[in-house]
Amino acid sequence: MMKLPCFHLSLEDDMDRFIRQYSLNGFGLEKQQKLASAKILVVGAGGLGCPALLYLAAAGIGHIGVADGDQVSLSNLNRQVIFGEQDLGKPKVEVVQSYFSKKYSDLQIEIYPFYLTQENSLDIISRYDVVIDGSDNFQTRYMVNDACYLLEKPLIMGSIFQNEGQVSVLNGKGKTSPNYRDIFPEPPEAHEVPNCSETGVLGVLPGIIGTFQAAEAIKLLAGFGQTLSGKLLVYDLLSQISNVFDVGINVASRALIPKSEKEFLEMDYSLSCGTVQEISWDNAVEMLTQQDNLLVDIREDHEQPKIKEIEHMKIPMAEVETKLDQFAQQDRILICCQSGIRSLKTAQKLSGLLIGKEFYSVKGGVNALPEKYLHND
Amino acid sequence: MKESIEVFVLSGGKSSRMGEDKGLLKINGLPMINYILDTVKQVGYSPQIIANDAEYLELGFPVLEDKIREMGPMGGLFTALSATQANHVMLLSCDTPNISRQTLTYLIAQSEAHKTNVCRHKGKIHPLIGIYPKTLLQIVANNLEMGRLKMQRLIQDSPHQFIDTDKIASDQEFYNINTKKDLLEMQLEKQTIKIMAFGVIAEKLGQAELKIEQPQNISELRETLLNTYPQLASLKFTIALNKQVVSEDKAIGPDDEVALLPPFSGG
Repeated sequence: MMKLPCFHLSLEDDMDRFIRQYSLNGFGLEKQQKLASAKILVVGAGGLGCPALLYLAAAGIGHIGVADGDQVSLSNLNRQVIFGEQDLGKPKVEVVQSYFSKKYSDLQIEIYPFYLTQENSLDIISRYDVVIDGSDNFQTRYMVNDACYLLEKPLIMGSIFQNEGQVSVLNGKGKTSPNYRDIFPEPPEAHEVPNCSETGVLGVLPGIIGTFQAAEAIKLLAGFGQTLSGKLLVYDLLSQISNVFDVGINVASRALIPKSEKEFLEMDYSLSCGTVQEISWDNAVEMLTQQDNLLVDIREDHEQPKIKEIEHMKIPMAEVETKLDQFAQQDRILICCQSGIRSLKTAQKLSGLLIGKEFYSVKGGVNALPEKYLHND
Repeated sequence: MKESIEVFVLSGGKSSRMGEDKGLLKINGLPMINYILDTVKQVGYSPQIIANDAEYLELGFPVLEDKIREMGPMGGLFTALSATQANHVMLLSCDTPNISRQTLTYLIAQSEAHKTNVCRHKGKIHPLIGIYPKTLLQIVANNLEMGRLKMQRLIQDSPHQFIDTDKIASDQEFYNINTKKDLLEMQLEKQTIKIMAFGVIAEKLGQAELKIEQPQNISELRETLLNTYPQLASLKFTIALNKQVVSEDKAIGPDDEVALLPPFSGG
């Protein structure tokens, strides 16, 4: 092995852990030092965060922050590879800290034992050079994206769905580079998110995607190779096929992004989950073309006009709660009344009684329904 | 040929085999006649339609009624020759939607003035892909009067040349739609594009890859998808065309590849 330039003896000692890395053709000591002086924030110490943390720490990132408000639970262990049975119930970030402090004495690690919010994220993110998004929900993803956009911090996005994963480097060169909203302008609505509950996943998938994120962070910080800035990688575990898409600036979606701290704080990132959404008749009719979706008219028998040509069930508002078994087969239940007020109340009530089903209230009620769907008895 | 030409597309014929006026029958959502009208336009001519149904007016081209009805192509030629301001007319039919620009350009380039010039493909003569001189008007009028309606006869009896297209055109171009079965086959032969679906979109479609007829642009693609797969209506997804995420409307070409990309939330 080539002798290293001996400009600082203690530095050389420090670097010994990384000799196999800086001896890599084209990488070198200079790039290694860039990693040592870098500060990375990992949002979420879950399926993506764990593998990313492992490789970032091993690669010699000098300074790592981890934010997560969750505790370790048994179902985490198939993919959140930093945690073991002895950690059940402990705050994730505390386990992360003690794990790495035993492993690498040269790593500085700060922990944030809470979730990022609109109130705390700008302050925390501003202390770092690069952010890794390993969160598991759209609220956090859009919020972290917008915060990183405002602060012009590169954001390494990773996400998974069933057997597929996405990776992109956002704000690679500040605001002139694409961000999450240039790819996906607006968050999906609550009903698009699969049941808002955890879905199944093979642990290796977030393992691969989180490791991709670590690789992108290392390349970006060291200036090594090409990053996924301006690209979206979509990986499929089942076929091992990766597709890389080019992403440009989306002028229309730039209008949706907050332009100042004040606008950021005023944004509504909440995605109503498990609660009731109001939908238009257009959407309602569209949804009713699918099986397992049901429209319930909760008006009293004497109320006019009646609905025609749209399949529906009639259960007066007062009786709905006694007839919950009627909804056993349905995933989505759309409630309508005369003007949309009773239906909203009823849908809210039902959503509290029947967990796992989605309830919608049709906006404007029968008053807003096109004439072709109406008739008088 | 440098002589002036006007282009007439025949659509007036009674279509006994289709049971209805066939020029307006739809191929992949567009009236059959649109395809040849488009091709004529692309070659630089403004076509006129010879038809006996007011509905053709909606296509935005001049429509001429047959002067003498139910006389087949000979009647159509008479109408065209009577109406034209030019020395020659190009006579085409609505039921050969596959004729290419190259073939029409070739026909025009190879044609000789004051002669009848008709395409011949693999030995078969196509009177309705031909250029006729205005000087034929009197002969055509006489033919109609005598009930002599065979185009081949008219061509043979006057100065003419056949323009062989074997080397420049595909057989498919001369494919003539006469029955509903022909029409259905034609629909299947139209260009398709490949769609790759990801994440929840693939789940809702029940497949990760599908082929659909080639839409004109991204907005038409979205519309077609939502009409065909209403289960996508409530989902947000980004579209990439040939591996590029598109943020505004873009034209889609044959054999293009489209990806439907929803965001993933999991971590």
